[in-house]
Amino acid sequence: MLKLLRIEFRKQVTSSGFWILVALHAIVISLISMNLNSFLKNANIMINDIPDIDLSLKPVLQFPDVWQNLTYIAGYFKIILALVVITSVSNEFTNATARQNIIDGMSRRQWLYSKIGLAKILALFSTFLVLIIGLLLGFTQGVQVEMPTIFTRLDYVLAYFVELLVYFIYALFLALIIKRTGLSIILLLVYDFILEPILSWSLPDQISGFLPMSTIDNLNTFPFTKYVDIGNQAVISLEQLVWAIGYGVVFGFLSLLIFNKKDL
Amino acid sequence: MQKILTVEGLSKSYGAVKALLNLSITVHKGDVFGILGPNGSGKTTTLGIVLGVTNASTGSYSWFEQGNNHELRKKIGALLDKPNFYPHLNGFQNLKLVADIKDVKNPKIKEKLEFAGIAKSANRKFITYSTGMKQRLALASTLLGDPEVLVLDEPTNGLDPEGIADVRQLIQKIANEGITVIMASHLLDEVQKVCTHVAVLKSGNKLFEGNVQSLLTGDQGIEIGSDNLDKLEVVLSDFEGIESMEKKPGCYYIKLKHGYKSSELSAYLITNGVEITHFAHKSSSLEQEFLHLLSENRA
Repeated sequence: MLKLLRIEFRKQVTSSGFWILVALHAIVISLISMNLNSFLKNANIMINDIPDIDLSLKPVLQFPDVWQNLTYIAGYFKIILALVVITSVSNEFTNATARQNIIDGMSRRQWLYSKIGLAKILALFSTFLVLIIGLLLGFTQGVQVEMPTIFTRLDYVLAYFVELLVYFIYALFLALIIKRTGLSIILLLVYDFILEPILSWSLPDQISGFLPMSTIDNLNTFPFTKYVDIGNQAVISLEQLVWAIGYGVVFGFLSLLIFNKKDL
Repeated sequence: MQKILTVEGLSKSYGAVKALLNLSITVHKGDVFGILGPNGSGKTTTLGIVLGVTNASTGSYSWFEQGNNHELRKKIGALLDKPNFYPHLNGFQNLKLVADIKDVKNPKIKEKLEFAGIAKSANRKFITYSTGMKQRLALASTLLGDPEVLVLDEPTNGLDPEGIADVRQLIQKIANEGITVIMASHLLDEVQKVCTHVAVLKSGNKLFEGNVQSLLTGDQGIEIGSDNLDKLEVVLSDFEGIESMEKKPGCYYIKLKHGYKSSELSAYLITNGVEITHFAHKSSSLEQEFLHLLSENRA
């Protein structure tokens, strides 16, 4: 696996597109997190669920709430890193370098594992970034921090990692069947924001919640209602987590099946 | 002799199109094996299958008598259709990547770059290379890890005359070191100049397999010239040993039936009063044999 990662690293290290997107992701998440208070103040107006509640007065950035709130917001920007996965896969088809890798002696399984390796590295990177920002935010709220509260809700950070990894494997799967960067990105957006919502309206709630994008997004549900409705304490549901991981495995296997059958 | 590549009953169809039909070939160690055929005859399909990038419909192949595991491909240096590299990596970085894939511990990249004549441009990004430079980098890449066999698909395609001569020289240099070469080409001249063995393909069918010499010396022809071509023709057509006769500028190209000697023909012509100005054995060029093979099999 280490060897496959080294090969993948060599492919990315001089690619400006790779570094630009990774940097953009890091900057966007950092900026929004650092200004979360004013962000929420403005967002407030748009959130109909929470009438007359000033979120900036709530302990949204204190331990342990910060983990849920931060990972929820950061989850919106996973798409930037998904673009890294898509371009890295589709460029290998455009330049016929996937073909050359196989000719030079990689097995198709190894090739796919090296791309899944890239997905893992990106998910890990973003998770660590969120972890560090969360710690910074939590410790700078000017309230007494009690040790256990820092770590009680780290399950949200774990769920964030799963959310990203499964989403990236899904993006990898799309790029693998479509082979072209632009089209893959369009399909990613169209399915995520148009097709699946339409699909979920026509399906009963019990089913629509388990469509792939909903499953990934519902790992961490909208967190701010808990400040209005005390009874509405969201938790990471184990069932949802298992479903998400299941989707990751399915998209991984489908990718392998399709890639094995492909003439490169 | 060790078999480098054995192909048995290989077929490939794309929907209704049959690209390859029941192909079997054997390449031995030390051969320079040409796969010759017009465009669309199945050359690239064949090489794509044995290199693991195209899935065969039926049939099997084996490298080094050990099967078709991907690890075996690491001992093959291959260049299919065009040089495929990462555009934003420079020549050196691209080769380093290939060396990683091939598990070459000490890749001697500089040496290979110099051998292929591309060392000076090793620090430039691949995207800035000219066609000839790309081809040279690809050749350098195929030599990484000192492969036992080279597989080249149309290696001189798209090169200028100087580049073509250079690449052919390189291939011969490689072959002289005892490395087996398998090469696809639609250029007969190229195969004739470079190869020791040849398989001729047409529309996915193998028409011939053997060494280039046996294809060349299949039957010899005689070129006869005279100041009086009309008389030559009349006299020639009366000679019973003529297999075929073809008019060429200033002479006739004759093929004799088996058992007739050229000396009998010349004696016959002289006794019939033909003044011969030119009388030469002409081994038919591969091109003629090739066209001959193709026309014989025209259904």
